[in-house]
Amino acid sequence: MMNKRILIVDDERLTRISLAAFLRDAGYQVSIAADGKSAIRMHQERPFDVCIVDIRMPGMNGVETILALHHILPSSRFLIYTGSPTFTLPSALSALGISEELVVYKPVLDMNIFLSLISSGQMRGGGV
Amino acid sequence: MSLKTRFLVVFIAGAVLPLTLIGVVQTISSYTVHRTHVDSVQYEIARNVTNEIDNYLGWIENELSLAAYTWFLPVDQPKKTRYGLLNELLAYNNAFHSLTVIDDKGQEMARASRYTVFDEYDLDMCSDSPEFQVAIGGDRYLSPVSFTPYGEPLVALAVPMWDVYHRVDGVLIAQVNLTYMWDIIARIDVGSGGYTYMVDGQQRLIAHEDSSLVLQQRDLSDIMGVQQAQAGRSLDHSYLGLSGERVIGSYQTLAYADWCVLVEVPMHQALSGVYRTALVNGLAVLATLWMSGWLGWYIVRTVLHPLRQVQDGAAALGQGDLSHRIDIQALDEIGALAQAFNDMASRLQGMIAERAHLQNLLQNITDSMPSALITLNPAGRVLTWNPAAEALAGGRLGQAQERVLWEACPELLRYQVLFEQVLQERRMVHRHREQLLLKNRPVYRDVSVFPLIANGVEGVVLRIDDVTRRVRLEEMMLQSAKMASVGGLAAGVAHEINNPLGAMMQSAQILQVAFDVERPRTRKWLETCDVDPDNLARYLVERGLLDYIVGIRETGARAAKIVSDLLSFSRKTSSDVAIHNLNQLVVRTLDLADTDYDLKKRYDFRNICVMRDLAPDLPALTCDGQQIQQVILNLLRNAAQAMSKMLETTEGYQPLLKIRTEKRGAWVRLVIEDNGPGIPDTLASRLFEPFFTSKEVGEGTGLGLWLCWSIVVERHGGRIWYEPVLSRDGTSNGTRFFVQLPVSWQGKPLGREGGEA
Repeated sequence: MMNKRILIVDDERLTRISLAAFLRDAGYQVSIAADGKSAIRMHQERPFDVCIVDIRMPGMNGVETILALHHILPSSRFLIYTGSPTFTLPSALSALGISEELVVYKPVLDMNIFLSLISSGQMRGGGV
Repeated sequence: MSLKTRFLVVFIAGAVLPLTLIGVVQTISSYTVHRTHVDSVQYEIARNVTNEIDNYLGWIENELSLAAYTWFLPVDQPKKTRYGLLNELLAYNNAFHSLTVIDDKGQEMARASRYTVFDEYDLDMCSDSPEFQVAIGGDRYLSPVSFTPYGEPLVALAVPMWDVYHRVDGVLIAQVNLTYMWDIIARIDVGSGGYTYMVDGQQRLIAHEDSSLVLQQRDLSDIMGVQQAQAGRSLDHSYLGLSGERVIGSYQTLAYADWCVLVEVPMHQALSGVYRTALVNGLAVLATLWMSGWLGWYIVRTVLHPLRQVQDGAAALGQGDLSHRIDIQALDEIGALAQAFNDMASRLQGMIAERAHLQNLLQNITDSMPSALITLNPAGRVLTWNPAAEALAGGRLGQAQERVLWEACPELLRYQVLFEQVLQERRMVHRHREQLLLKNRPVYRDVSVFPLIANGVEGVVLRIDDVTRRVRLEEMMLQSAKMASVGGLAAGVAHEINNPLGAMMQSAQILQVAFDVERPRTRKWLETCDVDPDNLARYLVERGLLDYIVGIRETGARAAKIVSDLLSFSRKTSSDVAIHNLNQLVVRTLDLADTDYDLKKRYDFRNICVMRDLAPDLPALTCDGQQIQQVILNLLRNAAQAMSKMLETTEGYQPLLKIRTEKRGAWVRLVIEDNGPGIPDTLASRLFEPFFTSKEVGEGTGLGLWLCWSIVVERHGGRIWYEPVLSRDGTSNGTRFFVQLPVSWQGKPLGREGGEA
């Protein structure tokens, strides 16, 4: 269970490395990607169980990235981690089973929320 | 001269005078005609009578002369025969009363009388008698008239007796009875009451149809006609005649004797025609006079009297009695005139009423205008003003009339320059938003000065608008716009802040975790790096590094809260839009406030006396319950803060919070009143602005009221405002906040425009 593979896609370097550090510290296998394209490539090489995706990114945005990642491995689960307070969940993502609870707004006061979200049953098929 | 008098004069002069003249002329001419006629008739009669008497007397004389002549023919005839001749003569002509023959010595030779028998002894010597004296001279002699005892008129006629040698040989005297002459006179019918008579040379009446008059032997010398006749002068004038009446007379003198025949006709009879004419004319004049008078009266009644009424009406109208009407119902021209006059008066009245109405309207309009309006003449004297101007001038315009405005109200002196400029340039001058200080408060004015060039009256209209309120409103609207824009602006900025903030806070948490030497994972890492956890812990404590890290996280959290607050309604959070009762929301919020950590920490809310006055019949309203609760909480918190500040500075101060709900038509209203220090005026305009705070740094973010405003105004279409609570002496005694929400809120979408950004 602790061997879950997690991919963090975020264009903000410090965000992705600090979150990665935290999750690794919690015992996950964490990879990071700075943009959607590299995330897709990494996912194609070796799929991840959980992808934490930023929405507003240069090039491919988070929604497209999630759709692409999902296309590669439909069983992958997603957490949306956005700094945009006005973000509303597009229906395309809702269709994938992503609910409002899986949207985390930056900044988070305590990153433990990710741990609880990842380990919670909220994530469909959470026990991959 | 009045029309009435002139009418009368014209009528009389025009009608009566000519008629009178005609009458007089006619009368005179009639008189002349009548007079001439009467004269000629009289003359004719007199002449006829005269002729007849002349003829008669002539015939008598001829008879006598013939007898005288024949006396001597049979000279040798005996005396008896001679008497017989005389008797024959008496018998032949009964006019002879007696006959006497006298010889040339004056000795009566024979005498014969119709009634008496003479003999020779009765013969007298009569040589001295006038008959003899005249006749012996060869002339005829006629004696004055005498009368017999029987009342017969007698006259003695003596003729000379010629012998064959044409010598006068004696005288024959006859006593002639003139009864025949009387008959002639009596037979004459003069007509018209006229009469004829005869006088002798001694002006005695000798013949008249009434013989008794004659027998009286009246002396008629006092009758003018008789005098004139005797004098041989014409009778041109009337006089008192024989009958004692005024008469017109005419006379004719006998050729045979010095007798006169007079024909007299009483004037009134003779000139009765003239009198009739005069009477008719007089009547005509009178009738005309009456007619003129009546006509005049008629004209006065039908024309002048109505005209007088019209004149009175016009005079009344002229004196301003506009309701005066002429009461003439006639259908003629006067009636039409009166009608026209009345119409004119009505129209005039209507026009004046309309003018008054318009004036009134204008007055009302100017009175109702919020602008202060003052009209001035070119000298700057006040002509008119409206109540707003009176209020502006502090009630001094009433005394300023006919005075120069600047002298009466020195504070308006500033507009004298404008006034003079307008008079000079004759065009409007406007001064926009002039700012001045009145009683240490800023006041804004729009000042317009218009030239007044109408009907030759020059002057200006000074219009002053106090736009302070509008300026404030505009400032407030600007403020609102600013406040509204903050939300949208924040949404854009938030992303840019949240990302680095998130990175920073995550990093700080990593550091915290990494320095948590109690964690087994950390210890593992420290072992890997040959670091003694205790030493590290001591180092961290010595340097206080963990506090810094905590500080970073807390500060970051505060920043995050600010952004979150700014965006609280932009972010799509779970909303609590439902039907709520405001009273319940208030009670729930008060309960919450009692236990609110933040409130409890600084101001013990339970020490504050809270008075609730919640309307029981408050209608339910659709709203976001959580947001409204937040509004209430924010207001409570502000009140608590204000009052706690007061508590620190004022002895014996008892904080009092009043909460009231009430229904206001289609609105429900929440009133939260504190008895704190109040809000200074200077803060008023910016109170609801975001990041505006009067609190000490750290005590508030300055977003509380802005949030309230945003929730109430933007989210719920309501209103939020406040007013100072003033004590009786006018000092500030707290603040009263009003929140007013529509009962039927349409449910404006909560999300801001823009969606995912």
